[in-house]
Amino acid sequence: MFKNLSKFVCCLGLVNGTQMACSQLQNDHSYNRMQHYNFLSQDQLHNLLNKHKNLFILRENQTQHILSMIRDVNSDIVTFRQNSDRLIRILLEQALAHIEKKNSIKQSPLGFYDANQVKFSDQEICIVSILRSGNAFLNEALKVIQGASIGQILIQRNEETSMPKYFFEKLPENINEQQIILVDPMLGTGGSASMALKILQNYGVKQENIIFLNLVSCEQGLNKVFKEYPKIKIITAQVDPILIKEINYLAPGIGDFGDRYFGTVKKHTRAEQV
Amino acid sequence: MFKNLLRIGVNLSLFNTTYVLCKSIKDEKLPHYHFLNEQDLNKLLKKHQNLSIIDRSYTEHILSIIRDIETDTVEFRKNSDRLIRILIEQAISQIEKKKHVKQSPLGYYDAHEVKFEDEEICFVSILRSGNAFLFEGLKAVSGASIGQILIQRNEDTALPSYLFQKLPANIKDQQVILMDPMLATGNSATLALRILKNQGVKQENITFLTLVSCEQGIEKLFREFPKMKIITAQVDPILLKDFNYLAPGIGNFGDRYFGTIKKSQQSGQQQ
Repeated sequence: MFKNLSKFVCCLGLVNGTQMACSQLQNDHSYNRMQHYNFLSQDQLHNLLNKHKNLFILRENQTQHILSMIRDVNSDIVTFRQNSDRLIRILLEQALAHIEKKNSIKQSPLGFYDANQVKFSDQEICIVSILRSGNAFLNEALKVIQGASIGQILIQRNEETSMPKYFFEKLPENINEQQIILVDPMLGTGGSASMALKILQNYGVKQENIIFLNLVSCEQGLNKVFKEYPKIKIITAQVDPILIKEINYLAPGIGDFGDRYFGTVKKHTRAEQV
Repeated sequence: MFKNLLRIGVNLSLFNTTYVLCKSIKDEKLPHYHFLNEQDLNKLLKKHQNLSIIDRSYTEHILSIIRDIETDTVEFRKNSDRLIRILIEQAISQIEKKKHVKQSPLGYYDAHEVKFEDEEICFVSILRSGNAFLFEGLKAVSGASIGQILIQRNEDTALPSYLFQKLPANIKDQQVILMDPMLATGNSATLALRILKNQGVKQENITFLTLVSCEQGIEKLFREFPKMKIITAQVDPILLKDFNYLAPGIGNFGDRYFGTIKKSQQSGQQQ
């Protein structure tokens, strides 16, 4: 009887052992299927900033929390919109901070002071959005600069070739005299941005008058845009480490910003969102 | 000397009268459009049961500022947003409600709440002008889906051409609120509605919002889509044949809202 019991216990032990080994293998396998992307180090970011003098990256302590909510695949649409709007507002304020100011003397209730105010009136500032995703910026933009002009350029990326395709544009007639804030949430290959900048150039807009805003970018996109348009300014909330070649999506990225902001996410892609 | 003064006096008054005459002639070049009276509006409402016109007391002041050619971009946007919000609230009020019993701090009450979740409501905007509705749309229904259809009117032929669309995959299961500030010939709206039909959206689930419309446009839409609803802030009396613009109308809403007015359109040239 004792022998049987010990045989029984041995068998149980074997079963348990193999089960643990199998589940371990399974966990490792599922963990490896989904990559864990690490953000760029301080050194890498410094190198990037030294390379491109017209590149500005928002301070990490301001953007970490908000970007985390935006990236999170489990964030519902309301949370996604609220956090996107917050980050977009921060980017817009940063853009305005870079616009030339004029010095004057003004009066406070107690006495005079040196006033430095943006040199241009509302209508001399034009927000140009790269449809469809860029339109998400317009909500906050009109709160900050109520009288700004709004231009729109529709460029869609062919999902297979990743080549940008131009559809349509509506820009103010006098855009060559305005301060331009070009907006598009993601800067991946830089193809769409480059096309939009070309269109602006054709209208006579000077590079120095363009500030390009995006939420997340990558080195390849930044390099491409600065190579073709070295005098524009780019303000980004974070530079992601990877541009996945086959699908030209940033990683960890946000996924498809337009689909997530406008609520047109196809159900089958939700689970596999990179 | 007195004679000279008299001569100057006569010349001045001659000059003045000709100036006044000329000015009044210049003003008479522009027509004065009168809005439809109560009778005409009641006839229209009887003819189309699914047409709602927002009560004039809500819209008179706001529409007046929007129409005014002197109104600057900021005021134009503020007032458009107010009117758009009124239209959206009206649209939501017509969506089916479900009854429950709920509890207030003092006791129970009969609760009637919109039957659908935020995501089951989809705002479909006809780009570019329809996008103006989205800012207020997202304030009213923060979780709504947003679809976009780009239709541009060829300025010479006035015929619409379809350029692009991005709609939710499950739009046929949603309550759709279609938006475009102006309803003139009804050609663009018809094209958009056909696209929605192709996606499987039922007519009864579509509400079309527009700031200013006209009889021709309304007739055209209801002829092809009798079961949808249309909510408009005001019905203008005239559709100018040559330009297919409403009169008195608003002008080009998109250009005025987004600040892309061409200098040739400003001051003097009423469409």
